Amino acid sequence: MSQPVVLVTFSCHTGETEKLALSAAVGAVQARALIRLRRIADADGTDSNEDAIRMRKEYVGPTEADVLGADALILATSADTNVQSVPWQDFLNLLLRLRSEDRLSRKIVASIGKLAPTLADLGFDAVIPVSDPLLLGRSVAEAARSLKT
Amino acid sequence: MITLRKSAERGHSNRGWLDSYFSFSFADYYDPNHMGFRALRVINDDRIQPGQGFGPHGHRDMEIITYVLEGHLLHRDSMGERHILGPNEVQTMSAGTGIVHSEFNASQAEEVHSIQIWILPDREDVTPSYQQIAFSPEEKQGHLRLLAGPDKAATRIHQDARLYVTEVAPQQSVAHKIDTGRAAWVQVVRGNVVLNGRDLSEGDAAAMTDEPELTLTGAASMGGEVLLFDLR
Repeated sequence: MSQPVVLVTFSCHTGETEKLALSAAVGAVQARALIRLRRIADADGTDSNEDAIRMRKEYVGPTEADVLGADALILATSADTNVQSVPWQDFLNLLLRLRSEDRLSRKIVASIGKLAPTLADLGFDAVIPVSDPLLLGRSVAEAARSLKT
Repeated sequence: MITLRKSAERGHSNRGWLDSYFSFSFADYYDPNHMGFRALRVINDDRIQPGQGFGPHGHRDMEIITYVLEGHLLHRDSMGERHILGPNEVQTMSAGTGIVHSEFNASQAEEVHSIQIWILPDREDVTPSYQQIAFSPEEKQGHLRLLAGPDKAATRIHQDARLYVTEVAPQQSVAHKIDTGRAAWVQVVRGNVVLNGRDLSEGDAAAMTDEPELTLTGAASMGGEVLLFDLR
């Protein structure tokens, strides 16, 4: 049986939400999933602190292929994430379009932070009410594995 | 028996920022005849362009050893480790239950030339760990310098396998006894050597089974540098 693929997408300027995303990714790896880590680009791309510069180099943004290739999606935001920003709206619109085309069926969607209501509005069941990101990543990977069998 | 794995026969991938040669199947390079040797699963000979590298990605149940020949690698991982690795150092990471890490060329000007090695662990679910040691160049010159093994003398791996490095000047030799039932993999990472009478150049390798001893002698004008794996 092939390993489930978990796509962890986050936005972050300071490295704090990145830590949550990495923790979720480790949880998914612990559950023997393959992971993809993607970062939503800065809205203006001008943040010049060391972490923001590093993350711009280390991560690429999520693509349609990333979403379609994943069995589960984890979206991580912080309290000050502006989901109305163009990069976030582009990503959420991508999810909405793929959902309307019925190309997201049998994919697990979960969130860390404040996106659960947004995902619910978009028609996703933002599943698995686990607050610890490590446990969330593990649970999402295990749920994705169950769906694959 | 000595089976040669010539440099030019290895898998190759050039993505622009990363130029890699694969001794064994890896990523898009798949050759069922080269899936590893005993517990040795991966030897990737990587050249990474300045400022470029591998973004965060996960590993589980693998002993991952990195040896830098030129330049410096910046390592970050989910255990909170953040280190720069350069020549005459070795980094050993036990992925165990799961880790996420990134590796980037720490320089904006110089290329990194590094060897990444994966060894299958003898058990699953060990606690993830990170080790890095430095040694003086003299320790490998004309000597076998232990880099990794199951004992306390080097970075520790969860496998009955030992990794040594040696640098042999022209006409200089080092020898290593291979115990009955064990095998050796010799990977030339720089220059030229003669292994038990066979000429090996940079990138060449040799698998040795049922051989009681190996002798490496520096060849050509510069001699060579070799990674030696002693495997169960």
